[in-house]
Amino acid sequence: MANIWTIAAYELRRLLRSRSMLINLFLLPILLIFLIGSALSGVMGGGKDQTIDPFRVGIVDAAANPSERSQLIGSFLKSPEIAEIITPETADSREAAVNGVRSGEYSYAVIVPAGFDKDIMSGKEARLEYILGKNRTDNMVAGTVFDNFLSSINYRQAAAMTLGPQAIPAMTESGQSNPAVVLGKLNEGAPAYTASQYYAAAMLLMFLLLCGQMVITSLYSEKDNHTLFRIGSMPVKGGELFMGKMLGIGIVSVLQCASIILATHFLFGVYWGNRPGLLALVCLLMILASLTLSVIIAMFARTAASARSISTGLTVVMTFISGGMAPLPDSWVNTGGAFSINHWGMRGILRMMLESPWTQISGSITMLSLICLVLLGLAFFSYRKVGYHV
Amino acid sequence: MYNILTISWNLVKRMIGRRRGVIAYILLPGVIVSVIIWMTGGMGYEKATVLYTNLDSGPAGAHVIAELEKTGDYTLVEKESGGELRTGVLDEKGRAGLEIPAGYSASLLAGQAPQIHIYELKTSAASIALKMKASEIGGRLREVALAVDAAGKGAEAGKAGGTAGVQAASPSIGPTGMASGTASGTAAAREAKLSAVLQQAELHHVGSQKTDYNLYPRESLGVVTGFMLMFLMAMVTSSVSVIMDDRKKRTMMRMFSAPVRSYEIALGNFLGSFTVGVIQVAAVLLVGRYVLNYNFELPMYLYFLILAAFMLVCMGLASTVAGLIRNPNNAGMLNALILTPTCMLGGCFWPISIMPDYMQKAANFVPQKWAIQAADLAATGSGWSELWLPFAVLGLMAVILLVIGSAILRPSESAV
Amino acid sequence: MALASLTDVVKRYDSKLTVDHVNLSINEGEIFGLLGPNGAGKSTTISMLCGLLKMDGGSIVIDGISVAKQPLEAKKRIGLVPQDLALYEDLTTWENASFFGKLYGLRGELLKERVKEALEFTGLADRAKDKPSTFSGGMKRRLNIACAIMHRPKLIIMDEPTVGIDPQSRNHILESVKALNKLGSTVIYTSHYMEEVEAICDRVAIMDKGHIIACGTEKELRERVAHEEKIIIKAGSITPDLILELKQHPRVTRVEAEGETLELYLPSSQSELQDILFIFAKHGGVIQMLQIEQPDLETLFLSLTGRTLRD
Repeated sequence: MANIWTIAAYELRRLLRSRSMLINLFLLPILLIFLIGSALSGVMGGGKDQTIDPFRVGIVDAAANPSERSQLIGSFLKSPEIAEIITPETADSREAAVNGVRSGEYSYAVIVPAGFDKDIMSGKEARLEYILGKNRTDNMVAGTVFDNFLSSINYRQAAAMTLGPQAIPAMTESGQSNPAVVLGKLNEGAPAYTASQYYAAAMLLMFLLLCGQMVITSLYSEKDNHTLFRIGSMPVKGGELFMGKMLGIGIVSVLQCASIILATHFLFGVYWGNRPGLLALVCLLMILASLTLSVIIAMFARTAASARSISTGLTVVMTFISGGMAPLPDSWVNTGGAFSINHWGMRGILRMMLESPWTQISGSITMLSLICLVLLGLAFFSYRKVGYHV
Repeated sequence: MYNILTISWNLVKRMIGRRRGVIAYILLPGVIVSVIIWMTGGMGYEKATVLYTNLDSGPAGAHVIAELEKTGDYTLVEKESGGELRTGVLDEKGRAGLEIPAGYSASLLAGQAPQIHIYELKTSAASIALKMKASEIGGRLREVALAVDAAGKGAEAGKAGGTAGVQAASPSIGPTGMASGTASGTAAAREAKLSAVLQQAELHHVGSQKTDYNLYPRESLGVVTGFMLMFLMAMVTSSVSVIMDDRKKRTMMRMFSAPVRSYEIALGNFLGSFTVGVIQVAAVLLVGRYVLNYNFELPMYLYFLILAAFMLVCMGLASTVAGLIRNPNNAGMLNALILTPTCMLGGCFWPISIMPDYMQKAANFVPQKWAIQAADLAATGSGWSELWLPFAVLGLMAVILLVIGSAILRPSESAV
Repeated sequence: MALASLTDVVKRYDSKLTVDHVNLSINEGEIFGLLGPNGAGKSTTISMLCGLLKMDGGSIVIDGISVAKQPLEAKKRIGLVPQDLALYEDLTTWENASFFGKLYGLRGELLKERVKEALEFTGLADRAKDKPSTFSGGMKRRLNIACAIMHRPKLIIMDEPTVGIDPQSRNHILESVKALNKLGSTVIYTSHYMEEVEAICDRVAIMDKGHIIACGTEKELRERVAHEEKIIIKAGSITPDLILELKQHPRVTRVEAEGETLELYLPSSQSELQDILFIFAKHGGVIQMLQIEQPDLETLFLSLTGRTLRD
């Protein structure tokens, strides 16, 4: 037992002494979470607007002479909110507009049919034609701007037709009261959940999985240093050496995990739920799973390089299929994703963040424990079969 | 020159000279990258699943759902209750959840401002679009409710002055009050009117039609290029680690003891790993195009040029890091430190346009941004008159980093 | 009395016998040399002696304890100086030593004392706070030794401790082996440098292809060599006639000539030296240098296997 502690203590000392290890373990996760958080802050907070450079939109009015041109469109385009987003430019004909879009002169083009205003007033069908340009974002913005405008007219037309024209003046935008749509709380009582919590949790889990890399580096470096040979000649059992190393790495992983949680909590205000004990349990299970998985890889891989690339590959694939990297098809998340360790850790942690009742959390913890048990068994048997020696 | 070629050929031979090397460095990355590209690329066509529950008994709730359905962007799945909806979102059964509260129509008609609730686990393009669409419909519904209210007032004011007191009071009566007393009759009438307006609106007499000449790059191209760049960068790391091994095993020192200049060793190594990189890029493109039948939407040679230029920058980056960090294990780690953040900043995972301004400016210093821009430009059929800029930036980055990298390679020193 | 004894020790790798029924007995207090070319099975034997490798047959007993049955107890009595440097480059000298000391069960003040002692013994006390990465090859070798002697083992095993270092450090190491022996440790010293083994070992075993082909004191081994001595003569104006006459001398078995150097092989130089000098004088050869070499372990190995040690 004393030997295990000695080995663990020195493993810890060596890990914490390496500068690159420190950067990787403690700085990188926080940097990544910060990057994601601020990159998506516009989207997540829904807060400050971004400055979009207004882009040019070709407008073609098919009316025969200028006096018949659509008043509705004209006044809409003159409004200041619209001028901030698009710069309307009159094009002579549909062909000119299409050519303009093709050449990049216009980012978008809108064709107004002849008699557009009249059709609307008389309750007939009236449609604008949009010509999509080269830039996906501009297309989306312009489409939204004009669609909003049309939809407003559509409702007004409908109201006028069913309620009579006197109802129209009442249809003013209700001003600054409250937004028509709010992000709902996923759970009552818990502090508001934000998507940044999701990414914080996903990153935490990815880094916990990456802890296994330390196992591989450590196991192989002991061989490369020939210190494994020397320790073999000492009154130390093979299992003690192995346990000591795992313990040392485990402690570093716990430190890393704690630093991520604390740093994100205090620096970026990420809420990790009100069950610190359970959160610790999930993290410990994840660490255990990651360590044992790496042990299994290290037992069967021939060289450190191949072991490392297998483990990196597995981590990336698991993060990917659990949806932590890029949004995947919805059907995937619950089928393919379930085969990754992250998936279950993610479920558990998210529910803790939402302060869900224990019954909802227990499932993922049971699953994680099962995964750990299986991996532990496999690691044990592969250690017995292959062993760790020179 | 001969020295450079000898050194680079030696590196190429060591990396992919044997069958194992070909499998590990060419075939495997090619297949993995292509499969991931194929998966993410194919995803663009799939509709986002949205869970909803409509607790409203009036016409407004149904209208919201009908309008969302009509956009054709969502697969809507109904849930019985709010609780079930939230559980579904938590279990990631759908990209987002939408809840129309009970009494939504009645509350609208009472002149209140009821809110639609949206639940999401993580922000995605689909959930943002859903939020925008739903909030637009919600806003219009409020306007329509005002119109119904005005119409009702006008009609009834003309009909009987006796009930004016009740009318004046009715806007302040809550949904519960609506169900009882004198208000109930008018409430039913209003709901009928609202329903009529909405039915008319659902016909979409006023609308638009989109003419799409396919001038813009598909959304999946950005994702595909992003992933491609990320994996290319990771693959460069592997060839640089071979160079680091040289330093560790002191074969680089021995090379330098021969009548070879430092810059020749540096160039030889770059050329060698670049050759391997180019073969990797070609393998990925060919597997993607001809085995998985993925259409990259832009001329293969252009895509190849873009990726090769990006590869060159990565190599400069990696060799600069390798020059700074002497221990091969650490070099791999630091590459990770550079790889993921630059990919995020450069727009490999999400479009740059959604990031705040200062981050968009920072993205200019990241090669990924320029490579993605070049791919986008090429996909929209732009010629060299527009393409020269991203290529020039990539080239400049590559030159600067390679010069720094070769200046600090210092082959005479061994690993620490 | 025997501190360590190997009885019929066998090790197989893929049905090939790397160690083939080796029997050895190392006496308490001696320096025992294990000599043999690379690949003779020395390191395999050492690994089994330290309990690093399982035996496929036979038994090893150290200080009355069976290595196979009580490996931990046996290991406590051993200090192994591995052939390859086995050090943590990222830990300081002191930390390296104290880590390995702790694994031998040393604690607290005793550990400090012993680490200090070992570093002083190997002349590294003033570099205790430096990392081995800043050391010269010889200093690393010395630290490699220091890490194995802190627990004052009864048996110190040194596996090629002088590979690849300068003569000065080599002498320092050889001196320290002798000093350790004087302090009461029995030493097993393997090498393929026969000069080292000849210089410090009391008894020597010669190993080749998994077998012990000779074992005994240096004197005993010398006596086993066919009585053949070598006379090296450097002389000016060596003529073919001179060589021919030397070859015709009945007691000279072999003559090798290269430039101005002649090598003569004969059973005993004492009786024939006069004759040889006479022949030189007759042919007008001017002797510049004359050297007589006694047979050594190298020649013994050559005569036993037909090969040289450093093949």
